[in-house]
Amino acid sequence: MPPTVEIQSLFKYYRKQTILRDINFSVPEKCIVAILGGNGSGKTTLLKIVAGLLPFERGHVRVFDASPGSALARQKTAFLPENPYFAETLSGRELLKLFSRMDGHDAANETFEAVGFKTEWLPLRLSQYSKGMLQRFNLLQFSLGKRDLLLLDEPMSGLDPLAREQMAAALMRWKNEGKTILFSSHLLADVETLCDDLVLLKEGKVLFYGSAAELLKKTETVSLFEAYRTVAAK
Amino acid sequence: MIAFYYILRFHSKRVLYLLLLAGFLFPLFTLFINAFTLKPEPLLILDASITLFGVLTFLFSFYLGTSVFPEEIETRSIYPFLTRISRIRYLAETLLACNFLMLIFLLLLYGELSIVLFEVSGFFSTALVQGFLVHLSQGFIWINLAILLSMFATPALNFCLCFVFIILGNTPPAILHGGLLRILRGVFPLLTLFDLKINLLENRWAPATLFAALIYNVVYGSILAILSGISFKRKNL
Repeated sequence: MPPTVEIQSLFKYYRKQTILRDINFSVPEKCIVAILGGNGSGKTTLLKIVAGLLPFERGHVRVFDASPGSALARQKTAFLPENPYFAETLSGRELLKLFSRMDGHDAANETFEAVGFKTEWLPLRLSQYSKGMLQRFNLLQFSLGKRDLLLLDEPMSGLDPLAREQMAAALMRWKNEGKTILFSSHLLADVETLCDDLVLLKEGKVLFYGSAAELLKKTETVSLFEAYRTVAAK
Repeated sequence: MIAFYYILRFHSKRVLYLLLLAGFLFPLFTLFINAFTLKPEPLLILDASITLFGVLTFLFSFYLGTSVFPEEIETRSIYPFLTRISRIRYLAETLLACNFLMLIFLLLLYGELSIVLFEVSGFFSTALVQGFLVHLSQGFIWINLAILLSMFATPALNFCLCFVFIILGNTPPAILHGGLLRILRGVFPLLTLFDLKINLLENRWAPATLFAALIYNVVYGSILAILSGISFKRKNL
């Protein structure tokens, strides 16, 4: 069986700048893979390419053995952007109705509960939502489609400790439901406990790909932070 | 569905209502002014209204093309949609929504103008259908042009470029002679194919010229839409 995501010799340029250079890795089915790296390392760009939101110049990217952004890949992929962006003049209900129609089914009560979104917020305009409410709405629209591949850009960023714990639990639940997850993060503690494999990016290049245990062994360190520092310093 | 979303988004844009109000009040205003004269002049109302409708068509379609679509890209609220539907479908439905609103806008303006002229002259001018169709097809060009330009330009630059298109589009081909100007003339739309004012003021029904102008505008607008599709497909979002 081919991996859910396969990336070979991927290059991405933007205005004469190389954003991603020679990226090679694959995401096996039903695994959680984290992309780690500093600011501007290309994590978001990589996720957007897999989501089919960004074109790329060179290389080979396959999602469910199809091109990213193709009808088949779209049908099975969900993308959660780091910051929720929605038309603020619309109400949560209007927008949710639209997404539900596109996905072909309504949001179940369990989905509302799972993401902590209260139904009484639905009639409000999105401009009236707080940051936390918007993040939950973002998560709600993301969970609607029941896709097999979940791409999350910094899902823990800006969350309070309780919400972070809920997010970690959601990731584990999705994994147990048989979904494949690829997410980017700055937070090593979350990565260590959650993911099966990790991809370490620096200036658009993969420095390491493998499990956390392999990284520790390779760098002869005892903590992921030290290992990250060792690899990133090279 | 994106078309519906766009209509909901445009619903909150007050500028569109202001433009509609301006177009709506103008024929009533001319009617009011005419009431002070001994004999109301339907041609004067028609002439002034048609000129204003041309300007409003440009402003309305320009606003439709440059407000929500670039905003969606800029704020990245386009992401949840593009993970669900293809870019081409998104763009096609955007154009559909914009052109639908343009249709409603012109239907309302021309409907009201017909009633006002009926009040003054006592008969319905079928020539107004020509005005409606020409403005609708020109609106199609402006919407597609504004959307195409908004892939590369800021709204201010987009407005200036569209304005250049209007000026050169309305310049008779005879004025622009010489190599470069001739080439440029070929790029800009030929808006002088159908003389709206003369045909309307003389209540002349010219189906052949009208048909040619409509086909030209639709083809020109469609080429712009195709170019938008190509640009949007490769655009970094």
